[in-house]
Amino acid sequence: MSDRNNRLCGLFDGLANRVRSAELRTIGFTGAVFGEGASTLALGTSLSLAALDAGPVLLVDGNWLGPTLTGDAGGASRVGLAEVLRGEANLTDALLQTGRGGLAFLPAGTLNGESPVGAIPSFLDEALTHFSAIVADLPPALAGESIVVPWAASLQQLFVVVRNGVTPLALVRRAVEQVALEKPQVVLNRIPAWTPGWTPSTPVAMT
Amino acid sequence: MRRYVDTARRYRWFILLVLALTWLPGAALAFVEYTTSYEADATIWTQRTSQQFATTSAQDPGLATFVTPASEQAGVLIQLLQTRSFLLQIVQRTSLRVPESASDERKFFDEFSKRFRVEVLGTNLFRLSYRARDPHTGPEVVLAALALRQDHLTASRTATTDAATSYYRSELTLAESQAVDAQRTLDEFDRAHLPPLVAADEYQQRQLRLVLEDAKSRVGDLKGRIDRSAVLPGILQMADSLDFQVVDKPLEDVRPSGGTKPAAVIGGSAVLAGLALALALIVGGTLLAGRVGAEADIGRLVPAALFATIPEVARGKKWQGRQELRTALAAVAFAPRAAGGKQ
Repeated sequence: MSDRNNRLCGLFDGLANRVRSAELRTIGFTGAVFGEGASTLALGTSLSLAALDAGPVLLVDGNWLGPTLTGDAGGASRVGLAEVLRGEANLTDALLQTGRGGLAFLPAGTLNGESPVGAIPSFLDEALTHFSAIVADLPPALAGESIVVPWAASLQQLFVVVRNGVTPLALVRRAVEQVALEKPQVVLNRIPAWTPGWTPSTPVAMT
Repeated sequence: MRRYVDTARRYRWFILLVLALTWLPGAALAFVEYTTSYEADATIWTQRTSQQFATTSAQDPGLATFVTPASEQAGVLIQLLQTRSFLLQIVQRTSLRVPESASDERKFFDEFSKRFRVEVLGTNLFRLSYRARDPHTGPEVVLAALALRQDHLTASRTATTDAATSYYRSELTLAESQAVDAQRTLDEFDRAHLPPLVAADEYQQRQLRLVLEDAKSRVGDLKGRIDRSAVLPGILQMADSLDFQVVDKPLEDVRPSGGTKPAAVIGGSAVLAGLALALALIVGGTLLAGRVGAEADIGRLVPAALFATIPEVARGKKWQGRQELRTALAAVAFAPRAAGGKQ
């Protein structure tokens, strides 16, 4: 990996370290609406977690409304999460290898009718036997409530990604209420200003 | 509504500053306007019967009546006060000076014209007012305007009389030449026909004398008319002065007057402008505050807590911001074996 890509992945090191130190093994990223950067954060965080060498990491594309990660991975036509949840495929068979050691990717798969979200807890249990951490990219809470709520109930922590200076406060509030999180955690995305080669004086991840 | 109240409370000092910056100068300007306004007015009686019609009903333009003398004269004065030549002549009759530069001159006349006010008080009475910056200029300007208006009337009457006189003079020349011709014809006839005359010659001689008498009588009549037209301007001027009488002359008042309305307009405008700015500030502040723009805003999402922040990737020549970040991350994760096999 080039220096530049290292620096880019470094953006998420703080977040990954905090996830690791909080001993969170199953996390998910959602936003209030599309365009908040949840998929990017899921991807970056999983790369940083994998770089910590604390065990294999699974990145799950659970965003059936806009499976961009699956598109990036070229796995649009492959079996994925949907098939695994329906029991039509094994988890290990559906996984895609990535370019980063210690990181596996599970594409979104193809939905046939209702989303099989009832099997999420058992899926996570099974995945945790193979991976030390599971990162799920989820659809926006306000657009995909029926998908996000079951995930929120099963994950150790669901992060609501908020785009700094853009996302209306009222929408974020509605999203938090809609997924009915007990302890909602927010990741504030695109805080100004960071330039390549610049080391932030304050920790990137903070509470 | 509560959000707007909260915003107003949050920005109260700034709002107070904005209000102070608009209201205080407005109040100062209004005060200056009030204390430096000296209005002088003259009341004019006019009784010349108007030949103009005024519509009495907006619904029926055919329903009209004669314009009252005061309305007609006030209307004429208002129109004249819109013209720069009339204003210039007023200024030339006073101690005021017209600025030299063209743009300043235009501003001067605009301002000068706005300071006049013409009110119709009744059928025959109207009032001309001028609001000056000092107590002396107002009466001077009002008197100059009225004198000029009077001069305009006289000049128009004189021009009409002059036209009539010149017409009569040309007619007189013609009549005199006709009289000379008639006299010559009669003289020639008398030389050619010595008495005793026959009946036919006697008849012709009477005819020629009749023509001569008629020509002389016309000459006398035209001379009389010309004499009368020479004294007519004087008579008309006297009539005009009776038709257009200044009942109350403008007085110098050392106390400020007439500035209440302009001062109220200035003060009111400042108050409204201040309120509009404050309102815009509250609305804008509320809308901006409605977006998550700082870590502190997360505190308003209770029970949500801030877990982490991700910095913005600056755009540059080689860096295309977030889009490149996503592409680069995808390249790191998926590029080597994008079509990947099973793990």
